[in-house]
Amino acid sequence: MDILLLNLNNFIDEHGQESKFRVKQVWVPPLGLLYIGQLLIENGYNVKVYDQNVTVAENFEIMNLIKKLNPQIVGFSVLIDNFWTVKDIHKKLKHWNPNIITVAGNYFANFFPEKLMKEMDFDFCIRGEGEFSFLNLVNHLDKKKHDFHEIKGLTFRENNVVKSTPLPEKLTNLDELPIPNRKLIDFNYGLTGKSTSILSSRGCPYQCRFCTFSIVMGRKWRPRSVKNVAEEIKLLKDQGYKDIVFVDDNFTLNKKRIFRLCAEIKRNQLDDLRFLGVCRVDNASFNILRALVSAHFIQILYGIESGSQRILDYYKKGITIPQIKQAVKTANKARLELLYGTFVLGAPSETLSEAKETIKFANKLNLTFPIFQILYANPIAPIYQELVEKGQHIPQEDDWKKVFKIPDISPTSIPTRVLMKLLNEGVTQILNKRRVTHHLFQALKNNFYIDATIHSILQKKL
Amino acid sequence: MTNIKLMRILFKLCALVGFLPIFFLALLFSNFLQNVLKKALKELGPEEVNRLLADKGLFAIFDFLEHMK
Repeated sequence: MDILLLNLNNFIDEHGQESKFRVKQVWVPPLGLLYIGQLLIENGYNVKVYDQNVTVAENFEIMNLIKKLNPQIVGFSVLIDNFWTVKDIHKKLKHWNPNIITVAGNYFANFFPEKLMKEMDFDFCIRGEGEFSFLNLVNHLDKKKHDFHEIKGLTFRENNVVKSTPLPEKLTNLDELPIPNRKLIDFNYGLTGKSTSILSSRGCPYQCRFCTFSIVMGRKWRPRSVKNVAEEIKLLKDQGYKDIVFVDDNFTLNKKRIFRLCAEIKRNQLDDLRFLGVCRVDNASFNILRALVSAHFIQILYGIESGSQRILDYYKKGITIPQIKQAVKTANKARLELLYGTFVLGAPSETLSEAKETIKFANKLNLTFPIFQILYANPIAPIYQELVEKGQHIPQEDDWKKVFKIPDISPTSIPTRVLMKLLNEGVTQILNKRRVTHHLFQALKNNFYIDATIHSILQKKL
Repeated sequence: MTNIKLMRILFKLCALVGFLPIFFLALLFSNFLQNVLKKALKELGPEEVNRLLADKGLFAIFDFLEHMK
């Protein structure tokens, strides 16, 4: 059986207009599809994964690919970003060959399966952790079995009625999963041309108000064994990767595991690769950061979010301003090459002075760069639901397809126009006169920046 | 010496020769950088400018100049 898994881009808007401005938007592959792909391959199926985000191909080219491969099953990762592109391709695909079985996964399949099946006429939606549900579905289809009730985490049609089976249990032993096969996508990712991502654990016990990851992956933190992660890194080194981004929901939750992982990286001489990761500020002890640096973690990103304790408490971040200051100081003491911090503006009750305080705070911290964002929420995010409960946002019928800038829908937020002005000021301050020389030397001594720039120059030339 | 190491050294040399005077001039004629940034912010928006800076450091200035052509 031939299966094509698609990760599409956001080149089409809700009016069906294709954007002419197409840029590569990712620098790591769609790991979820690669996990599913490898599991299917190990069970004897032919799989191809295609990522429009990296090829920036037009939709007619995707259709040409589908016609050329003529698969029996096409799987789509359906996200808010690519909703309209998926709709366009799905419609064309079913028009060309209505017998191709289409399967939706990811955000919409998980949270709005019935609505999605009504809107796009998918044959199946996979809910929950999708690897084994997808495999079970393909096995059923291959053997022409039609009792889909047996498959957990599936939404399907029976006599024109949409039905859903219970969600599968969360995987307890992630080592059971195969190592995702990056060769399923024939393109090089990354700022430096040789990057990929790795997932060493799933789930996060924290309940930050703006985050929906724990809703998808669960609040129970489930790590892979250090040995299993090291094996994957070894394989990546053999495949020529240079930069590896850890994309865990909560990478540094278990400190002992981080020490063991760093030791394993060094023991296997994998520390000539460059690693990038995320860390909570309350986990950022000197020993942890030093261990990460010695294993060649060149970049750590802290989720700081605000310079106001009241807003941090509102977000339920569970961190304090002194902890943030200390974590930045510690990272610099541990000689981390690149230290980033994210800051989110636009919480429903955030005052103008609090937003200004955050920008000032961000630029005062000794970070390589602060990263400013406006607060967004989709309809499953707690913040959106609170606004609806308080009657501050009247839900519309098509809200489920959208993601909202909170300042656009919250009457108590700072207006978007004012926030954008603040954001401009914040970014301008990053390059103020005092810091230009610092950034210049930082850029010249940092191989990661240099590689990224050389790569982008070479890409433009090609 | 591997290709990438050689390229890095060449890049650093070029950057030092061509880049340093520009930035020291920029420091002297202080508003140059701020003007580039202001135009980039107008063209790309603060979030994209911030992303480029985080991805490439000060070398993102090349991208800003390209967008301003």
